Amino acid sequence: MTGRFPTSGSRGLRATGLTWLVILLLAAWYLVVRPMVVEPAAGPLPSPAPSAESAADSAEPGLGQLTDQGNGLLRSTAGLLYAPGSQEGHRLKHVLRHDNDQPSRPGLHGVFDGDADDLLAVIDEAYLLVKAGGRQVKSRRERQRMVHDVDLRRRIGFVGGREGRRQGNPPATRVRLVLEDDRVITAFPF
Amino acid sequence: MYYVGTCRCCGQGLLGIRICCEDEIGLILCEECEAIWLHPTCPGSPLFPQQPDSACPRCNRPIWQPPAHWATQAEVDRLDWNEYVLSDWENGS
Ligand SMILES: [Zn+2]
Repeated sequence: MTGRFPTSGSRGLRATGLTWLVILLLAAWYLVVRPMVVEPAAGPLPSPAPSAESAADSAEPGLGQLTDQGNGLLRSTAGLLYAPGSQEGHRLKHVLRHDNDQPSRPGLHGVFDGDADDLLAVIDEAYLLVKAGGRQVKSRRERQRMVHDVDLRRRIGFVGGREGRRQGNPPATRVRLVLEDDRVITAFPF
Repeated sequence: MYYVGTCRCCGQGLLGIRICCEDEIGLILCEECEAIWLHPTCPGSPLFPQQPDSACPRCNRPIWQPPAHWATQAEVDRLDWNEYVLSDWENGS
């Protein structure tokens, strides 16, 4: 730091001026820049990416709400895209198959607890965990798609279908998300 | 829907015998995740239809729209895939 020990004469005056200039610059930096660095980001965050721990407690309010983007495209709060397609004609209808058990269906059939809103909120919550990364998520690539197994660390449904019933309909704590980019192919609990 | 097993890709889907638009072309299609194999023994990695229309990797036409359909018994006979069929599941439509 210059100008710490002022001397007499023009050299001393120049040093004093430089000192004040540095002090003024530091003060300006403190007033203008520091608040932006220190204070948490504010603003509209309808679906903030939570830490792995916080999202596991419960689905956050507002998750799973769908916005109509036209042409049958529905965008969820967390950013998932439900588009026309599948055997049911729309991915939303396809995923909603997992809102009810199909006890006579061969094999396993994951069933979400709650209603359709709860189902969509849990899927959104799982997607936020995928985006945040962490130990609750196990992902694998299958050509152009990703299969994410997300452990929500609480009951979110049960295992139904004929085989699930044979096993006593055990609780499901994980969601399997099959995605192509942000496009939902399917999602169900297991 | 005549199904031949459970999908090893998604773990829950039933593998149905699907006829895509080309006559007598049979596919094995997972009704849950749309994984596709070309033979009931499901060899190797599955194929996946191209989005957004779920275009069939064989004929490039939408796999969920007519003329594509779940195979009838006569079509299963013609494909000579009867030995692989586990059952017929009504709800699969
Ligand atoms: Zn599958």
